[in-house]
Amino acid sequence: MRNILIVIKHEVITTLSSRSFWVMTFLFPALIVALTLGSQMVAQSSINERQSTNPLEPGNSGSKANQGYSYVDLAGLIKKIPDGLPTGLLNSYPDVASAQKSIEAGEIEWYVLIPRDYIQTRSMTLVQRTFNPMATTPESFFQYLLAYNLAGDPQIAPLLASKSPSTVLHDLAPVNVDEQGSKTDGSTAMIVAYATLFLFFMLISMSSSMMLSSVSKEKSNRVAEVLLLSLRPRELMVGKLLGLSILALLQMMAWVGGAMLFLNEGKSMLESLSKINLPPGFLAWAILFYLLGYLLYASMMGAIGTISPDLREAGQFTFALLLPLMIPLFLNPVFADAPNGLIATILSLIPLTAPTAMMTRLATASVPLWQVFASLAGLAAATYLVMLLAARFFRPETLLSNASVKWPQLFAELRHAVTGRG
Amino acid sequence: MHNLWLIARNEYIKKVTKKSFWLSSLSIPLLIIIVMVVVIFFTLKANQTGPLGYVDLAGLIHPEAWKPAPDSGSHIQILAYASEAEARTALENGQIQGYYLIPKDYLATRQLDLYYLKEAPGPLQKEDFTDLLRASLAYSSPEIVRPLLENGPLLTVQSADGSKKLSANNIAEFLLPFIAGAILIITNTISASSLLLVVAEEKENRTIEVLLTSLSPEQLIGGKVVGLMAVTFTQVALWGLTVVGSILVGSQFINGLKNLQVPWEFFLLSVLFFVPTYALIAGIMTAIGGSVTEVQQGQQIMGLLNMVFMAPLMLSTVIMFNPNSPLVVAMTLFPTTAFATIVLRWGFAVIPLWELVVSWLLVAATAVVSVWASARIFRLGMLRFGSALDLRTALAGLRIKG
Repeated sequence: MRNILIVIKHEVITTLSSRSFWVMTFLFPALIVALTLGSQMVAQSSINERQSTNPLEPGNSGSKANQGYSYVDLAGLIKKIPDGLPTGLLNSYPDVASAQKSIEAGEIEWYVLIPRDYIQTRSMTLVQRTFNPMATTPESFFQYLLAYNLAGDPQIAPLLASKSPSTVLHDLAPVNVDEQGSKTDGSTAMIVAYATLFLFFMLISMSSSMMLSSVSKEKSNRVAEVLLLSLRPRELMVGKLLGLSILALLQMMAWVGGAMLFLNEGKSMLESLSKINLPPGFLAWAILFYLLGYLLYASMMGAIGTISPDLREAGQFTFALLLPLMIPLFLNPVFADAPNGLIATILSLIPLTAPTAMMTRLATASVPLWQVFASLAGLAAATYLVMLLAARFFRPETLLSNASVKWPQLFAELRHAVTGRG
Repeated sequence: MHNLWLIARNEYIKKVTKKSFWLSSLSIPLLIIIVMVVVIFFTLKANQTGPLGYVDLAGLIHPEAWKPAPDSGSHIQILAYASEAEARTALENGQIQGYYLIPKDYLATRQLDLYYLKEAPGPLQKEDFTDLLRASLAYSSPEIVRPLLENGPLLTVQSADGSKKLSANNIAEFLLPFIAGAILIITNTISASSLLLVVAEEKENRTIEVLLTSLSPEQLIGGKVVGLMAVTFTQVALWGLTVVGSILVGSQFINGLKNLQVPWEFFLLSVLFFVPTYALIAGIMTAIGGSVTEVQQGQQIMGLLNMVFMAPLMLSTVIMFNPNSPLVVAMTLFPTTAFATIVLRWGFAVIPLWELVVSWLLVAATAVVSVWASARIFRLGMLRFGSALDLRTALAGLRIKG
């Protein structure tokens, strides 16, 4: 026990005194958040600007470009102007040449060209002085104007101008007592799903890699030989796993805590953030799933570390080991669209994918409590078994060997660990 | 020069004849294809369940008005109910997956209600109902204008001089910048450890001392970098062929892919910038590999450096909404951010020619300097065998003549 405590203390002190740990724990996430937040704020202000330029929206008088709505109607379809539009809002040009002249002179920023064959082709062109498809587009206003002239009924025109009708959703299902929290809706679910998957993938892969590099380092610089004089291999493994789990937890608290703080503080800045509702107890579930996920992957990484002569050789196996954790990341639309669907449920119950999959489901939907417990129990059992298996890799002959390792040797070692025969 | 090519050729042949090269080159596109197929399969499956109902209290729906085009895929059945009670009973009995209520005053309020149990109908089902509603609203208009009212205009955004166009048909122009950015991330991640450990094998088996008797550090590092760059370009070409092959096969089954226009200008621009950008990355990574003693230390520095190259992807919304802002112009000209900024900006703005020329020259010049500097750092690292070089020592090493 004393030896294990010494290993724990050593791992904690060595890692905490490394500059890279602090950089990865605080600077890296801060940089990601700063870039993402800055980018989102610019996007939102541009979207708000786009919305405020639609004269059909209450309180808006027209385009911000101080030019009104310029157009060239070669098809001769715009004959009537809807009542209530501000005078001088529409600016009609008889031909393309005169509109081009105005745009080149800088009098207008854009104009809409309705070609002669519009009825056959439906094609309409927005000509911009400074090309930017994401800038204010008057598409919906002209769709309304054309519908007003073509449909003849002023009440129907605004309905035809909007691509999807405004709809209020009503869920008639009775509220289930074993389900918790409220469901995140719409496009917000996509952001939450991706952010949660990315966060937990990064955390588990980073912290479990610390185990691999710790074992590899001591093997390649031959410290393992000295250590094995006074330690049993399994004491070394347990000490490393526990010591690094403290640091992993610290890293996780910094990342998840920072993300939750960002969520609370950022609600006033970004509208989309205010739609995110994490269930009560999310942090507690996050700690449990993360710790078990860390132990599961760190055990496997540690086992790889024992048989590889150095970090470079170990690197060939890490991608394959982390692949199960990546699968939910590749399938992130599934988690956003149907967090309680078949794929998301299966992935959240398989131990290797559960740490990322279940946390994402918990963040985006109401998950039946039995599924959360089943997933946690499966993950705990798998972690226990993998730890037992990994402990069999921690032997003097593997730790002291400097031989190169390939996939067949890895499978042979695995067979040896499972059956106990060489 | 001859020696440099010898090293480059040897490095290239050694890497591409390895099984692991083909495995990693083919496994990534294969993995992406498998994931895409699974996602598409389940999305389509999830979207094709059960009919949808509606209760039309405003008397607007004309079921005969909506005739989906034969090539527009499968559609759900939409059933009419006389009252809300009937629709609710059908919903509770599982006959429909949800129902719309069109209120009596819909023309004034312009708001619908959608009722469902637990899972709301998917986007494709909602789209079918919206199409029925739009077709019904346009039904009283003359037949010739109905398609215009139902579907609205097809908008093309065009620059005043006509040199740049974007419409819903050439969606490739919108997606390709992100694909190009993703390729840079993947190549960076995959090749980073090879670049960091560019001479690790020679150091380990002690052939480095022999090699340096007949080669200069510049020839050795330059040759290694050129060889590894050729390996990466082979890998990217393989991925490109996979994408083209998938599109050709996919266009037999998916209508949207048939009209895909290849933006050759974009490809040319991407290749022009990718080559010096990757050389710059290679130079920086090799320099880091030469100055650190531990691989892990190098990988951490590399992780942070990757972010400098990837920053434009994180700031993609800024580039999309303000493609000509001073920040975006600065990122276009700055060598490490130039490639990702230019590919992203290309779809959303007309990039002035002078910016492209200056940017390319800056990237190319920085790439040459970085490869030269990495050779100098490598030489210094050899002289100070076993000890790490800090930034100050490395910079001092660059100033030493000869």
